[in-house]
Amino acid sequence: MLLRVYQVLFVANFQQAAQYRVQAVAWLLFAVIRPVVFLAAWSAAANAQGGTIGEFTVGDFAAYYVCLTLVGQLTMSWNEYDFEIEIRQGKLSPKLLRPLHPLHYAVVENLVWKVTTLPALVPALILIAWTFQARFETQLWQLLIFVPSVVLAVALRFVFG
Amino acid sequence: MLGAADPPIYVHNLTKVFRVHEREEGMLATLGSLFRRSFKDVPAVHDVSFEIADGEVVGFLGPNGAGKTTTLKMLSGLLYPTSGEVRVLGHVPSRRESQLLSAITLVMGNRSQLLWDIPAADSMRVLQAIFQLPEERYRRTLGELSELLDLDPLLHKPVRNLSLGERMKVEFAAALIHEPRVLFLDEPTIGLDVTMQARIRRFVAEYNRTTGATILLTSHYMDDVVALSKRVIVIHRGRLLYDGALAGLAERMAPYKLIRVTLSDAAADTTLDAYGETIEREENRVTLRVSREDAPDRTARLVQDLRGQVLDLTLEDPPIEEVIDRVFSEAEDTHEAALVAST
Repeated sequence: MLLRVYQVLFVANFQQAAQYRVQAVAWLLFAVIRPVVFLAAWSAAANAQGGTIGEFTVGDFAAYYVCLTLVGQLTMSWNEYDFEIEIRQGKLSPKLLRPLHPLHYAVVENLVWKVTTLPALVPALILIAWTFQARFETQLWQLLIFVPSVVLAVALRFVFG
Repeated sequence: MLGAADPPIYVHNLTKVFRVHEREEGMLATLGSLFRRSFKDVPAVHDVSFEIADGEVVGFLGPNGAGKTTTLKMLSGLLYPTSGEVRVLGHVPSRRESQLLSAITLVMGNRSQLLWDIPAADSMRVLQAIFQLPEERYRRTLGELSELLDLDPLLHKPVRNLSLGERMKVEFAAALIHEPRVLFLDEPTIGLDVTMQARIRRFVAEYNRTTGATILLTSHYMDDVVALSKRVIVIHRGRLLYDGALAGLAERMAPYKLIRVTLSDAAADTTLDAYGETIEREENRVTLRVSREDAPDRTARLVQDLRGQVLDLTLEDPPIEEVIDRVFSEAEDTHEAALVAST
């Protein structure tokens, strides 16, 4: 039953998200501008010192910022702010009057945001990685613990903001 | 659970006190309040008791700030009572049990429960899933609501593109899609034009007639209450002032009646002060106020004395708006007198 509710809520929230294309583009720019600015600065500083700062090359910095942006987007949560606004404006009341915990709406909204923004963000990050020659040196075990770490981080930021 | 003899709405000694932060105006007071806060207890509802029987439509009246919405919120489980007992369909509303939430609804005229950016039909699908309505029942109910409210042209437009009246109709459909047995309607016609108000009124009456739902309705439009409710509950400053028949309200709260008389042109200037207090005079139409006890005698005497000069005459209760206004004014005077006495 809950699966059906999630499915329907997902579709409705996706339809809502699809209404605001310009907003989605603005968020994408917001997400990629920051790593690009930092990367440009670090690249300039590294190139001025013969290509490295300490042991890190421009490619290392690029890999770091690409991962940081991806993980930041995957774990992003603003539901606690929305929750506060809903309480202040009385918008939580209709949700409390239905036989479904308000938490479920927030989970779906969060999920929809990620699903709708990642398809645009990932190509942008690939482009950044290619432009700055990102160098990924990753072991299999690191990848294996990456997945549960991100899942727990998602839960952590969802609960505590 | 609700027993056979239990009323669907039971309220006993219900009290709600809000704790409100208060401070003086200005920057210093703002900074001071960061370190030392003072609070004030504001009683919103005080010791209110009533019961509403199955299928009954009750008007819940009171001026702004009387405690109507607070009471409705406690009845629907949105607020915890400070003390007292509330049971709706045998459940304690603040526990938010699924069984109760699936059987009640709260319509607030100034609040929306629909998703703003998408057509209402999509919001309805969400509600269908949440209330676990089988497809057949969902289609049947939506069809009935569509017919009653003429929703067909509205369901597929984004909610944000609907006018206030159109949105209110769709809000009603969304609130009733799960066929609730108890309806709490808080100012459902607020801001609507007279045609739409009448439409909503007819719809609520029809819903009550066909489903036997129990309805508690607040409204500042007395037409709503007169059209829908035989019984009214009046509260003022959180206290219950009257609970009884709407017809009895005037009898109990307004100790006078109105004689409306239309005189012939020849007698248009006749003074009628001997029969009652003239409160309105327009050309040859005069309205007199007389005490309830004197009303039959005065009316008979007027007809007899002005035989042949009275074209039309009615003896009636004062308009319900006037009665309500009088009730609230008297309650306010009593409250102020009590305040003066206590200082």
